[in-house]
This record gives sequence, structure tokens and C-alpha cells, in this order.
Amino acid sequence: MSKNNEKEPLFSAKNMASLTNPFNKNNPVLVQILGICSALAVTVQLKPAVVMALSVTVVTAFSNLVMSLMRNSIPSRIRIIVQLVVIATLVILVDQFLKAFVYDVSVQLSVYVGLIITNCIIMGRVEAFALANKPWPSLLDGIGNGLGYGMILVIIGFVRELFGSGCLWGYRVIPESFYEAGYVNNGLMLFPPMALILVGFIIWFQRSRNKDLQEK
Amino acid sequence: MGLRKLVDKIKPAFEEGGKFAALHSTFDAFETFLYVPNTRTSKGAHVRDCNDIKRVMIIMVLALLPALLFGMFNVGYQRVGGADYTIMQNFWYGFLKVLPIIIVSYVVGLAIEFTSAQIRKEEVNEGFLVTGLLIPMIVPVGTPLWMVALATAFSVVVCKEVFGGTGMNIFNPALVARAFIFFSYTASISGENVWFADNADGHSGATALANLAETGDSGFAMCDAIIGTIPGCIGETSTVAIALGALLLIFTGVASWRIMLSVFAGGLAMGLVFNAVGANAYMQVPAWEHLIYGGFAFGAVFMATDPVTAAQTNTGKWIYGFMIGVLAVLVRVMNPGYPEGMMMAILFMNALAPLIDHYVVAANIRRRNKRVKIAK
Amino acid sequence: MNKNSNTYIIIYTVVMVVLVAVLLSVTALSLQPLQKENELGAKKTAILEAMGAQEADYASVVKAYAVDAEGNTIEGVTADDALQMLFGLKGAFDAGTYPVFENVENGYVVVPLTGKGLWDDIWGYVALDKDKNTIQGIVLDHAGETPGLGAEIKETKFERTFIGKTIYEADQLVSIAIVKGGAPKDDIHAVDAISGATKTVQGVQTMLKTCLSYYDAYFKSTQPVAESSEEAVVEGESNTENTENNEQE
Repeated sequence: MSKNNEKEPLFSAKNMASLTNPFNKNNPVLVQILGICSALAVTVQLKPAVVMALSVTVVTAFSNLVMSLMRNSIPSRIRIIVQLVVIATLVILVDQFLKAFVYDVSVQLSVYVGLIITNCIIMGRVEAFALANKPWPSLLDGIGNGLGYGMILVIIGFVRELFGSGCLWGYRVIPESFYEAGYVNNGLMLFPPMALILVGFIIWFQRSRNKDLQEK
Repeated sequence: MGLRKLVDKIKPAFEEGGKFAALHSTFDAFETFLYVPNTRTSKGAHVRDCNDIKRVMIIMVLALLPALLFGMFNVGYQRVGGADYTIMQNFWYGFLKVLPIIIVSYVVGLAIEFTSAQIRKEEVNEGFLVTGLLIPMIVPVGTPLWMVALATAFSVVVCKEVFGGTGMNIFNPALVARAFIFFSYTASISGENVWFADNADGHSGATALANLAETGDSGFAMCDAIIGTIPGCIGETSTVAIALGALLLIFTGVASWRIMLSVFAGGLAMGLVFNAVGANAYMQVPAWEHLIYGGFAFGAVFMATDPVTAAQTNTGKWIYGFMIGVLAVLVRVMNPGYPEGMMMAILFMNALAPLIDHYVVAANIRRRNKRVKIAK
Repeated sequence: MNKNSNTYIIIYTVVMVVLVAVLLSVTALSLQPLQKENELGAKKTAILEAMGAQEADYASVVKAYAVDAEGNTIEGVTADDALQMLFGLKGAFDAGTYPVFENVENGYVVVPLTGKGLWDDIWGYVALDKDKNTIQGIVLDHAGETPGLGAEIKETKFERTFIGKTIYEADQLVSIAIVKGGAPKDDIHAVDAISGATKTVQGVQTMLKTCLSYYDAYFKSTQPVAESSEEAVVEGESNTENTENNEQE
């Protein structure tokens, strides 16, 4: 745990790295291999994928922030329990807000919102970063990881909805004339295994471009 | 000037430093297709045999021919008024309908295989010779060509190349292609419309398995089912033609008779169990009938025996084959969503084959250890 | 104070739990009215959609009540109670209470449906004309049917085929048959099945039969006593009543 005695400028290179690393070099889904379950479950359509991405970002960012603020007062023996309580509280709050303000998406997300707490990204970042760093960098790290995860969700949701239902965000994109000519929506896209294969393709693409991500 | 001399003449262009060095793999593929390679190994003891992978593949293709040719005839026979045409007329009609599917399968698959080999700077693997012919034979004649192309591409890339190419895949590539179409475009590969080439004129109907699932009665005469003049996927209907292929494969030692026998045994066993339970009409179908309907026989002889994806040890082969037979009949009878269980059974056991081998070998080692201890 | 002493841990835990409980209760209570409204709204939209009155205002157009097995309106069941029954429909049916949603403008009645598809639950709403015989709309939904096959029951294409079909043959409730291979064109009690989705549409057929039969007494007691709607002559003859009821086919 590094004690930094001088004040780090708010948007220093180190802090910005916390924010931007999770998009590529340290992407939670592609590199840390976390949060896979929800990446498969909610990406059938683009809209739930975006809502889930925002929800996870909010939860990760604020749980990182809260845990970082509390980090000096938590008794080490109940550390994990405290983390669980904080994250669960945030998740319940998100769930209540979704049910109140975007009901139709909440129905689609149903169980998966409650399962955000099981999303390893959140506890992973709290353990790995928030408990050992100051609040502002922790907040940035949480936002970065949430958005890095969200980016993958949006990509997969885009592909799955486009090829699985011919729609995007609920609006028909593939014209009727295609269907009349014999085009058929790909039903496999609506199943989770295909999402996992898509994640595999993205990892393949990412590793081909970043040699340092390949294990030797 | 002989063919050998011609090949030798253009060879330098494809070697290191030659004009077409980048296409070396492609050239090598064609050269070894035409001539047995005369390269020699320098280390270890090896058996000299002209029967390399390519020749084995060619024997498999020969074994598939009876089923393929009959399948083409059957496509013609199944159309409205098919019984009134001569054998040659029906065959020719079916040939014209099936050929595009075969061409698409080979072109797409080989293009991807050649490209992957070239990128990796390795030899082209000839595994696709057989897969390319299997894929058309396990789809209905009404399958749109673009779906065949997409499925073949998916299968070669995700099932084979990602794992390392021929010999490295866990799952049977032809079945992965069929599974892809089945789950992606379920409506286009099941139902009543896809089994007939003249569906555009309104001809539709159910297969034997669909009828069995609904009423317990296949709706076709027994001898029709054995000869194969019933609707179904292109290559899988004729038990007689498949048997001919099986004989060739067993005689040449290319496919394991253990696996074939145990698959049938497993299917029979599960069928008998269902007969004993007899809870609904499907369960009461005589056990041996399961072996001739649907893709059971075809899967047992040509797909389960794929040496790459099957169990490798002899004991393992018995267990592997038996479980395939059991699962295939189990899925058919118990699951209303999947009329044909063979594809699922084989893919599932493909995943378990290494585990079976592991335990067979471990049991063997334990036995031998005990002998050593006793001998001491 | 020593962070790891028992006293500290206990105090810490108590404070944390109390804070969290207060925060969550306050949030839940204040958002509850909004949430309830949303849930009800979703059901109301489905009912209006079945009636073909998506644009209308539920409160002014729909009269909701419940009937018992004999067809009598149950006293003391308010419109909201009837709507609430939709949240536990199987239980409501088992208890002998059957909600009805009537459109006061055109006399359509919507009854809810619940049943089992191939893989999971299916449900919906069917709207009958004033004569309690002709179907004027249907909304179907499912929890987990196969995309492209069973899931097609949700599509307007399939739902539209029910419009104009009748459920009574003379005095018999025959419901709607969903015929594999295609229903005969002039059969007013049948629609085409979905190819490859036999089990799911069988579930729909059973669901219709079962749920409509709960309302049999109610329908019969409220059908207009006119000669025209009862007689449904089908065999071989073209049916004038059929053509005037079938706006869309």
C-alpha cells in the first residue's frame, strides 16, 4: 500500500491510466476475464445491454468510492462482509430505480440486476484497488472498469440484436425485402453460447493486435 | 511430358526465394494429393506405409459414395410422381439438386483451410476432404446454400482452426456445422418443408422420426426404411448403403468396428429399457427400429468413428460408442424439442472422450502397478 | 480505538446495518407508488392491445370486474381488485374468481389466459366481441419458447389469424383449434399452426380451451339472444355471418 504524501493532481497521468486501461490493456471482460455471465445473459438486445452497462458502472464506481472512503476504518476480520453489504445496498438501489423509471427494461433484465452483486468485476476492483487507494483514483478506476465492461456489452449486444432479430434498440433495421428474398434471423445469436463465442472472437482480435497480451 | 515431370518443373517457383513462395502450402497440398511424398523421417522407428492421411481420407470418401449416390436418387424419388420416373432420371434430378450443396461446402471449407495453412506457413491439412462431403449428407435437400456456406465457415474456423487444425479438434466438424444450422435456423432445417426438392410446388410431409414422436408409428413400410426410400437428410436414409460403406471401412481398418458395434448396442439397450417402461407410444416402438430411422446408422458408422474426436483406447471406444447409442435414443424419446438425438449424443460424447480415455489409462496403470507389487 | 477489537467490530456492524436499512427503506417506500403504477401499466397496455385500443385511456374505456363459475358478477370486487388478480392468475382461477375487462365503448370483453408452452409458461389476453363469440383480438406471450418457432406465437402475424374466428358452435364452447398442416379456409373455429412449433401451439390451444371454459357460464348469460350469432353453419356452405365478422384474414 503506497502512501503518497504529495497531492496527486486530479487528472494526472496515473489517474487517467486508471480510467483508460480497462478499455483495452486491462479490460475486465477480455483480459481479466470477469463479468462473463452477465455479458452473455443481457446482451440479447442492445437496450438491456446498455442499461446493464450503466448499472454496473454506477455500482462499481460508487462501491469503489465508498469502500475507499471507509478503507481505514473497516475491521479486517469483517472486510469481505462489509464489501458485500455495501455492494448489495448499491445494487438494490439501482434495482429500485430501474423498476421505477425504466420498467420495460427492468422486466427484461429481471433477475440479472439482482445478480450484479455476483459480478466479479465489482468485488475484484474493490479488493484490488479501492482498499489500497484514495477515493478519487478509486472512483476513476471504478468508472473505467465499468465502462470497459460496458463497451464489450454494447459490442456484443449490437451484433446479437442485429443478426438475431434484425433490429437495433427495438427498431427494425434489416428491411423486409431481405426477409422476402430468403434471409432468416440467426436464432443462435439469441443463445448465450454464441455470445461467448463472440467474446472469444474479440479476444482473438485483441490479442492479434497486442502481442504483449499473449502468454508465452 | 509426364505429370511428375510437370510438377517437378514448377516446384522451384514455390520454394523459398521463388516467385510464389507465399503459396507454398497450396502447391504442397496439390503435390502430395497426386503423389505419395518421398520425404523420409530421420529420427525414431517408423512403419513405412503408403497409406497416409490423404489415402485414409480417400477410402472414407469411397465408403460414403453408396450413401451419397443413393441419397441423390432418393431426392428425385421423393418428389411428387417420383415413383413413375426411371432410376437414372431420379438420380440425375437429385444429382443436380445436391451438387450445389457439395460445391458450396468444399469451396468455402477449403478456401478457409488453405488460407489458414498459408497464414501459419504450414502444410494444408486434408481433413476437410471428408468433412466437406459429410456436411451435405447430413442436411436436408431444402437447406438454403448460404446457410450451408455460413455453417461450413463457422465449423472450420471455430471447430477446427481455432484449436489448431486437423487432428486438434475436440468436436466432429461436420456435426458442428449441422448443429450451427440447427440452432441458428431451426425453422429452415426442421418441420415439413425441407425434405422435398419440389417443396416450391407445395410438396411437404413429415419424416419417420417426426411421425414416431407424434404417434409412435413411423408411417413408412419397414422395407422402405431399410432401403432408404423415405424422406430425410440427403445421405442418412438408406441403411443398406450405409452398411456397404461400413463394410469397406472395417475391411480396410479405417474405422473402428468397436465403436460401430457399441453404438448399435447402446441404442438397442436404451430402446429395450424404454420398451420395458412403455409409458407412451414412442417408448413402445421396438428397440431395433431406432437403429434404422433417422441419422442413427449414418452417425454410428461415419461420425462416431471419426478417429480424431472419438476415444482412442479400445476399452474407451466400447464405452464411448455405447453411451452415444444410449444418449441418442434417450434424447429422441424424451425430448419433444429434438426429434433427432444422434447429433447431440455424438457431440456430447466428443467432449467426454478424453475423460474416458484418461480413466481407462489410469485404471490400466493401477492394474499394472498392482502386478509389479505382487511380483515383488 | 483498536480496529480489530470485538467492541469496535460490533459497534461498526450495528451502525452500518442501521444506516443501510434506513437508506433502503426510505428509497423503497418513496419509489413504490411509481413502481406499482409501472407494473399495472404494463398489464393495462396488454389488455388495451388485445382490444385493439392501444391509444385509448384505460381508466375511461375499461370496466373491470370478476365473475364466478356460474357467470355472476362477484360483489365487492373493484376494478383494481380485478387488475390485481392478473398478478396471480392461476391462484385467482383456482379460487373460482375470473377477471373480466370490458370495453365500455364497443362492448368487447377481454379475458386473461395462462398456460404452459413447450419449455415454460405462456400467457395472454383474448378479446371477444359483444356477442361473446367472435374473437376480435388476442395478445400472446411466452417465457422461453424457441426463437423462430414457438416464440412466433408472440408475433402479430400469428395473432392476427385469430381475428374473426368464433368460439361457440351452437351452444357448445368449441374454442379454437390450431391445426397442423393448415386449417381449412372456411373453418371458423380453427387457425393454422406454426410449422415446427407443434408443442407450443398445442399449449396455446389447451390454454384457450381451458381458460375460456371458465367463462362459459358468464358468456352464455351475457350473449345477446338473437338468432344470428348462435347458428354457425360451416359444412361446405359459404357463411355470410362469417364474411361480415372477418374484416381481416
